Amino acid sequence: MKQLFTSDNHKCLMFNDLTSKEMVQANQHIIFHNNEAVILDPGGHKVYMKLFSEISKEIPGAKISHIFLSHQDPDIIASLNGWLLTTDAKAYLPEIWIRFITHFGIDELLVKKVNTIPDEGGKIDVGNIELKIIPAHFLHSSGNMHLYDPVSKILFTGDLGVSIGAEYDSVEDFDSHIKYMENFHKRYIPTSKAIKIWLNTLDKLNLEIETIAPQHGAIIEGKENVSKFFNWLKDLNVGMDISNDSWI
Amino acid sequence: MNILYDNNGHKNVMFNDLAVGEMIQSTQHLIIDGDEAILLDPGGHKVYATLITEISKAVQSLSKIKYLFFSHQDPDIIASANAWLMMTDAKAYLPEIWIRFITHFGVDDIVLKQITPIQDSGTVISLNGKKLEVIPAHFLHSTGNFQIYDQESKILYSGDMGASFGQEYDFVESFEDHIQYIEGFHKRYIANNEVLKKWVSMIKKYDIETIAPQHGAVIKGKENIEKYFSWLETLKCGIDLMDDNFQFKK
Repeated sequence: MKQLFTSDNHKCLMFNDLTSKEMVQANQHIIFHNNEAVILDPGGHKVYMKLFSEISKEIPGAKISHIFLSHQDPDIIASLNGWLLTTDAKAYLPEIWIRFITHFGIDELLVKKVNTIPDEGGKIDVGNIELKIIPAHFLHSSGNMHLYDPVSKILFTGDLGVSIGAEYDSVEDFDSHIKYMENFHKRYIPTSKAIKIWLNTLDKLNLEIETIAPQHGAIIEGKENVSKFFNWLKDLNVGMDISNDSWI
Repeated sequence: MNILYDNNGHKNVMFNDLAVGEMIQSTQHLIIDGDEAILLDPGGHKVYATLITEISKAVQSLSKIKYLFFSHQDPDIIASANAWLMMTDAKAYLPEIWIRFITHFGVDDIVLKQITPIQDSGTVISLNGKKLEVIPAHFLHSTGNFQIYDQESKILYSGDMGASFGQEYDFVESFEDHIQYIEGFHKRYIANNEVLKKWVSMIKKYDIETIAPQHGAVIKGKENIEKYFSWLETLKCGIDLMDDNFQFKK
């Protein structure tokens, strides 16, 4: 576990050591604000029990008030029934996936507790703060969202900024970190145009970003590293850009 | 339930009426040849119980299910994977790039023992000696995605390509009238036109009589299939339709 931010009434924790064995490493992020907890991309049932007890250890009596689901992949949503059954949390999922997750999710719970996020994004109110839901479609999922916390100035980027195989949990030297990110970005993202739209979207929103916190691998901290990350993305060719004329 | 092909001990069965409640309609396909069968994209646990009964009727014994095919990682494809792998001795196939994602819910031992990862370039499955070509169809919509071409029946199992929603028929009569049911999905879920064009130029080389998607109606006959391909070649979708802020252009 790593603490990404802390103040009197606000805390961001990253659980990066709960996945094991054959699972791709995944981070579960929790934003605590006063007595409320927001879980981001909780993952599968193998992580569920551990995460549940970690949360109550960190802030005894914390109320899990919101669950944010960036997209439809198994490492994001597989434990959703469990979370919806055992908490009163409201969940948020991109609208285009709601009728897909009902292939395993309990209809009544989903209809009652899952808010659908429209393509243009939205917000989650936690106490007196507003977490911003920012569209990040086709990065890699067709319907995909990021979350920005204005208190900690962390942008939670899901599958963007992912690194696999790095043995540290915060990037020190960005240039030597590229080798851990490169393969995933090149194979999973369909087109560099999606990245460019994302960079433009962030630009227009004019957010102050201190930290990029992905759902896999190390976080990118500090404005210098964050801007190096954006620069690297700007010129990166991925997916269709670098594939041959035919798949076979 | 529909029989798409039945000849020479080779049978292609489509279950398209098992999804209920809030689930998006999805179709489960079964290919039987002699004593061997393959189940394509079995879906979630809510379909599982009904499907297992239906399949037992079709193949007599579940031990005939030699193969399971998972075209990609979405919940409507893989959510019942644990159960199917436990109930059968089937060898399963899943795109390589998703193996370590499904282990977030899949039983490790079973996943490792029974699932063969499909490399990006595809593979061939031999069903009782008949060839099923596993053809890459990446980014349609999933990053790692495959389709199956059955050489005997000349059916292309196209997964999310050709998916339609809301029509009340099982087989497309007029392609022009059908466009209204396929348009929304293709435009929103597929990343761009470039990937469609790439797929069309590759798939045109196959002798296809039927396109059987995982959602909605089947497109039968060369004329309709040709119309579908032509429609795709000029279709703007996904990123093509979004402005600089991920908003759909009006």
